[in-house]
Amino acid sequence: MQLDMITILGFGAVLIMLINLFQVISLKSQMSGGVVGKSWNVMILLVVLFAAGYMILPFLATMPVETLRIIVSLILFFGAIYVLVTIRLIYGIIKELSS
Amino acid sequence: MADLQEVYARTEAGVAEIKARALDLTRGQRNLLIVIDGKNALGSFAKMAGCAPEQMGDVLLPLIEHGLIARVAGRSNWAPEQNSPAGGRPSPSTYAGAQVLIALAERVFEKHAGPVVLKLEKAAGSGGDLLAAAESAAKLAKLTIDESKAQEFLVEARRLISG
Repeated sequence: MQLDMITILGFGAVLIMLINLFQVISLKSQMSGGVVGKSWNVMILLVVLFAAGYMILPFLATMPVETLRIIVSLILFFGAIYVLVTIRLIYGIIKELSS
Repeated sequence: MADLQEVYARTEAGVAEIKARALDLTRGQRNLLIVIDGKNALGSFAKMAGCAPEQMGDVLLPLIEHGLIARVAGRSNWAPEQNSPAGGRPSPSTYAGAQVLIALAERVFEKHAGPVVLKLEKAAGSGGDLLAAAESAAKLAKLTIDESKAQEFLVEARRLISG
């Protein structure tokens, strides 16, 4: 395997996403429900999807362009959902704390 | 009438009854059983038992008869309305109130009560305002446990604190 900048970044992304996965699952025990707990389940699902999606990064060079485009589109789509969930969660926390 | 300066402690049967709820205790009796600590005098728990100090005997008697609490020999130390004790220590009423709220949290939130109990214990330790502690704990519960249970906890806590 060629160790270029793209590969290094790819492995870095996978490593960070695995850390995220560990943390998001670990923190779940502290929030069984409520405003945060409900969003947390969605976030766990998204992080699992991201972690799975990032796993293909080392194989990018061997994939057909069309498959690659679909995968990148899916990652961008779920990334947008992740941001939406995070913003709504933060809004919910601020709203609750200021009530 | 019960001697309000006497100090009572839970017996093993009392500890077991808190968990088991086997006896048909009134809310006031149960609250008193929960807050009695073997340190503070009976009089300081009147508000938590939901009665006037002179009526404490009625609440106390069934607990003694069932062997749930027992008098601590040689301890007698109640002074009414010790709300601002020197040295920043929590007053008995704050401590007792927090214990009732903790028991309430454990009942409402069951196995998820941990973080709420921790928050209430901190409030008890610092001698802070009980209502503020209850509202803060309810917010934490609303965010991380269950919104409807948090509301139930807050309503019940307000009722207990207002006496």
